[in-house]
Amino acid sequence: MRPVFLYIFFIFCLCVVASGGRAGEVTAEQATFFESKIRPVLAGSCLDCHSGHGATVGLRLDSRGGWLAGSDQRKVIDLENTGASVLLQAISDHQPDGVPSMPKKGEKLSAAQVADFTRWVEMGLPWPAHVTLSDEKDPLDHWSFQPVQSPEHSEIIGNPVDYFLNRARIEAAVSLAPPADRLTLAQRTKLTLTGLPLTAEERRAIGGDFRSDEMLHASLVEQFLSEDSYGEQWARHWMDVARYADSLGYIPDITKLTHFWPHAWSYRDWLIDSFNSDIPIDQSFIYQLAAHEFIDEDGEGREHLAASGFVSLGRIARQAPDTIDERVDATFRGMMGLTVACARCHDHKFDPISTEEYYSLYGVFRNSMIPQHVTLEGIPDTADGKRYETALMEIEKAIEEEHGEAIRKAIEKDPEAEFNRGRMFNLIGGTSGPGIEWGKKVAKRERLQLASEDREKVAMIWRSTAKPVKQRVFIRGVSARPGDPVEAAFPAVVSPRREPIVFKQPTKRLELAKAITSPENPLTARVFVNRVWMWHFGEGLVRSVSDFGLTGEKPDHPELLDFLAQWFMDSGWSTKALHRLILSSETWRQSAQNPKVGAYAEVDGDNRLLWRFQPRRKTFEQIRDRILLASGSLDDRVGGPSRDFFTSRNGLYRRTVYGLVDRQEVPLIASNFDFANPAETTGKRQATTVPMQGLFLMNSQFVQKQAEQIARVARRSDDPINRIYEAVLGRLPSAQEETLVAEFIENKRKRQIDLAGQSESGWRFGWGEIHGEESNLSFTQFAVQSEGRRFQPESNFPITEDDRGHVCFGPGLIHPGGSDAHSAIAKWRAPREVRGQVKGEILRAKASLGKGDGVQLRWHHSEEGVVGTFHFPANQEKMKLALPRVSLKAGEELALVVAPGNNPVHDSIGWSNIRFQAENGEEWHLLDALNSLPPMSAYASLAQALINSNEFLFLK
Amino acid sequence: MGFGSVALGPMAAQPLRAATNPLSVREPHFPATAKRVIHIFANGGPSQVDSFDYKPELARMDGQTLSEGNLKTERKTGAIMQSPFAFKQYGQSGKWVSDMFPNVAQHVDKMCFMHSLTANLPNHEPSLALMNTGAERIAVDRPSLGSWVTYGLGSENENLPGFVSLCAKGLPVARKRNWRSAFLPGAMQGVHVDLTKATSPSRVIENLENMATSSGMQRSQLDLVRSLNASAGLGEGVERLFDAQVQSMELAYRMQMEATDAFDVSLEDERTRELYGKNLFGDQMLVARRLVERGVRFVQVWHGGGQPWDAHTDIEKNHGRTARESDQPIAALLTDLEQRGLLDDTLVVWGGEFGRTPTVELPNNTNGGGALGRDHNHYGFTMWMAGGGAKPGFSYGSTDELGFQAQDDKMHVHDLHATILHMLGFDHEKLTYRYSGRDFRLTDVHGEVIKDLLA
Repeated sequence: MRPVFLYIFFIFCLCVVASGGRAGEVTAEQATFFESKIRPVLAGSCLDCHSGHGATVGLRLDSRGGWLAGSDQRKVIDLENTGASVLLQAISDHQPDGVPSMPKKGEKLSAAQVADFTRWVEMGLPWPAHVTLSDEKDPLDHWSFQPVQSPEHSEIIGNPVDYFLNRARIEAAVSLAPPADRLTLAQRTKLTLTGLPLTAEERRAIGGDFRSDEMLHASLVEQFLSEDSYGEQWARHWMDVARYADSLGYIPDITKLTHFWPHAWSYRDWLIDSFNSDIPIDQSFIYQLAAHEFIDEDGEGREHLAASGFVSLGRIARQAPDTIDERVDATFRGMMGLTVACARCHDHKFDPISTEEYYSLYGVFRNSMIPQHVTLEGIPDTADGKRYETALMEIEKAIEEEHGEAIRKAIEKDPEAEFNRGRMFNLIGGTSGPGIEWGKKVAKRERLQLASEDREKVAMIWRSTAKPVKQRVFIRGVSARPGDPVEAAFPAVVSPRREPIVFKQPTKRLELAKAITSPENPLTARVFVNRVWMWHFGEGLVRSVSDFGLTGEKPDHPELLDFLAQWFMDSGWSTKALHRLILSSETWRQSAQNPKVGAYAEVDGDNRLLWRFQPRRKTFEQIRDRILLASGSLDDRVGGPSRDFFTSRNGLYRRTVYGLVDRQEVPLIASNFDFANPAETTGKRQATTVPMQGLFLMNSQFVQKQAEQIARVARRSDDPINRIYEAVLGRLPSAQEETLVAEFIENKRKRQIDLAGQSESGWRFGWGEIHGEESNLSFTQFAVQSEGRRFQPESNFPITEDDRGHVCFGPGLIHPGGSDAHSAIAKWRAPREVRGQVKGEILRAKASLGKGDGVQLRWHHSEEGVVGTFHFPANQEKMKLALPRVSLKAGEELALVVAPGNNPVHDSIGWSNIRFQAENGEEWHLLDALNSLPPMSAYASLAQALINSNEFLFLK
Repeated sequence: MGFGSVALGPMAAQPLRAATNPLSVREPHFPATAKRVIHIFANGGPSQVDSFDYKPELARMDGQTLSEGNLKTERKTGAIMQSPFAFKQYGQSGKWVSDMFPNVAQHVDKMCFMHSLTANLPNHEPSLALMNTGAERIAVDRPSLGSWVTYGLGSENENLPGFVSLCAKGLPVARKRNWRSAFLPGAMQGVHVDLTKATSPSRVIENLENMATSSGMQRSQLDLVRSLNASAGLGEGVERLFDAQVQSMELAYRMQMEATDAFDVSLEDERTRELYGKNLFGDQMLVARRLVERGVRFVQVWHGGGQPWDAHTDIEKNHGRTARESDQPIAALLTDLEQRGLLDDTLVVWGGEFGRTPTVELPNNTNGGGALGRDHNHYGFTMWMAGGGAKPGFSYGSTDELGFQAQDDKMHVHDLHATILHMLGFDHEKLTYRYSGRDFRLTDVHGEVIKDLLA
């Protein structure tokens, strides 16, 4: 007998026990009754809506099991008291409240037909075994639940990846693309393994290497695998699956607590180490699920306790069942590609996972809710570390003095509260008690921790309880409605012989981990090698990488998948060995361009046969890291506390994998670049192209600053353009590019401000004042434009010795000097006779609000004198530059004169969008004048352009 | 799962135009009466019995306690409290509206009131989650209504986000989770805009303004990028992905101008500014109109950070203020949309996450409630719609004589969602997204379209 039948029998028994009905042999008489009276009516009146996966209200009348299971909301058949069966009421001629009349479409059933159904229900729903009214297949036959079946190694010629794919390619009459050139391949390989591009030295070395392409490639693979950055890149991949975040879950603002969990990074660092030291994946999963069940707090291998973060660092929900469910879900989707959490409220609709089996797993995590902190490494003995320690002790002391007793009582009452801060808040008094005071202190401690580089490394563990609760099914997923008890066990469909593995030891998480990593488990190795394949090629062999169940996709190349899975297990679950195998294939080494692209796209547009390397956009991390690397700013230290991606002082130049991830609010820019959503496990990231990405690349200060830095370094050499190319793209420009770039730089030079004359925008900048009865304007043009494009009196600015003070005019900045005689001036010369008005806004930074006495603004017309006077008071945040329309003849000028007022401090103001707008709509922007770039800034602009290029942004 | 391979349910027949731009315009399942939505969120929970659900019984029974006891809301509440606001009838429909909303009341004949809404719990977080995402459990991560709508229809203006959430002076409770896209692509997330935070319209969206490069310079820089892309032989013209990237950079370039204009209320004429009232809420409403006018699919306008309508104490003072702030701007929006012919296919929805009790909040409870306030109430509350195919001058459903509990034609938030999606041309059961092994939808397994609400 095939195991399939055993399973059906098992489920069958459950149904029978649950419903109390008879399910024995169907007699010939009953079979005839079913065939003649029941089946025709079912087919004619019911199954249109109530059959298959999409059955209305989840009610499936195409099998006996479906009749017994009922709808999403309720049972429809009561075998004990057939008269109470909702379904029979629904087809009768009148219905009690809340029962719909059925069938909804078509003719009502005749009284005779209703009587037949009533009789049939009374018989106990006899359903002949061979009759299937649904055209669906037995879920147990699904491919991924079958044992891994590796083809004979002896028949494989050459690299197995190529062997299997070539067979499929030959059948479809497509062939591989030519090999990628050495540099392209090396770049691709380094990016996929380390997330970083080739360095200039590596490129040079590759250029001068005389070994064969294959030998060179093999040695580069080894080299990249041995770099620390390999672990960073692959830890990040797994962090997507592990829904990594530095915060736990939602915490109401009213508690004053932060969302953050300052110790999460110990798990991330463990992952980096584990990939770098190539801990076998089966062992890694065992650590991640159960390290604490076989490693002592101060025993050997204690560093592996950090691996528990996989379980601990999910979302902590207000209600424990949600927290536990999340763990079951992440574990099974992440490690086995199985959506068992679908069986929380009802049997899995598609996969053969019952609610009983779900709660068998649920119980494992439910009895593992005792939080524990284990300090793995103390505070480093550095100056910063000492400062941190002192500050920390102070806060800890305050917490202990005021709340110590209450905290201990709370934990005694509810151990989970130690990690569940929302609950702790309520337990120690909430808003009406000392909760808020406690919340403030804890938030203060967390902010201190988040801002400190040198601090302790702590593992977060949820231990198993000594007194396990007997788990019961929660009916419809409601914990308040416990049903039948269940044993802790592994689901039958993925257990050997299709019988649930019952966990008998106290260390149930370890047993679970062993069942998951058992070589007989049909899913774990398949799912993991498939993920690795996707992280290399962009798509998995099974494209629904976290769903290998019935709703998932089928493998494109099942034999290859099974070969890899078996090979992987045979190779000791070594991820690095798997990389070597995949990356040595011709499939990996081929070019992104296939000369037959047109024809092949017709046959296989999705490139499922991998007839070329499929280019893809780099990840958010790869783009950000590469920008930092190009500017020479990347801090390549490995490990340590998380830091905000863009704002924190310490975090700014670290690799993005060290970025602080708030589960509640991933920074918009990261999610716009399809960063993994840490709310749940992520198999494959989205791949979108949206303008917000472009805005970041073109306008963000982050990119602009790095571009400036690239230019600054490049300018120190004789051939800045070549240096910029090398820094950003890792190569020299082609002849064609040289021409384009030269033209670009030349254009910038033409537009460069002519200090003796004026820019094309008609605006120029200087200092001076309005004086005398006739309101004459004195004006001295600024001599220098700084690198930040600020116009100022001289190059050793800022000078403070004389009254000129800080007088300057820059992008978004106006600063008058120390006296009215050194007012900041922007002057516009009319190119022809024109009538129009000045538009724009001046602004004040929040920090200087209310300070000083404000500034004086006047508009000066070269013929008419002062045409407008405004005071911009210190307490005002912004002001429109409203000036009535004026007329100017060609060559006449209109000047904005900003004077310091009586008190020349806090006079720095901002501006936005200042322009002269003619009546016909033509505009002359102040900003254009500031941006008539000197050559050095043209270089920065070039660097940024290269960052915006597809070559930079895509992996190919 | 990549967007390109998403099972768009019944929409799968029409492939995404540019496979990688998730905001490309898509057709709904059937002809729609509404093309876009403005959702005015009176966060905190506005009281129905003080605004649009007139209950004369309250005055008669003021101070009395209910013999059968009050319904259980978050906390125990006290005696019946009459409304401090006076009601009068408006319009041809003779709708009773309190003097909280004298300006909005002028529009009753185009409004469609829903008096029998119910939610599941009397707490802010789950009710906000329910109203915004259809799933009240805070622990689950589900896309918001605005994200679903943007997913279904794309955006008519590629130079602007598809979904904008205007909220000034901080964030509402549950913060940015209210407009999250969850497992839908990040482009469908609401872009939060706080008009008070930005010093100029060009700074309302992150990275919208280039502080260092003028547009002319940027143009030539972008031209250089295009030439370099072409010369690098990356297969432009062949590689759809690369083309999409180039297009996207162009979009970003245009977005700088267009989005800046969209948020710049100073470009409106003086009469319009006056109509909306030159204040924060007025500006928000005006921006909402400017956005939908430009093709933004879904605009949510929050009353403000925190929970401004949460009147645990002194309902007269609290609601008096919040209504004063929003009455004229909302009325102006309706007038303005109508004048511009936009109201026909723009659905305006107003309401909170729940309503309030007709009974008084007991003082000195854990919530810090003082005197003369009302507590949370999810058993029955009022919302209204206007335009976009909502039946004008119509009132649907009712609460009991005290306005405590929905009585006739009860309507759950899921039904509201189903009905809104219907107006936008979607069968709510078929607007699905395959994730984690199953097809998710806004209404989960619930929701019925309330046909009576359709014009």
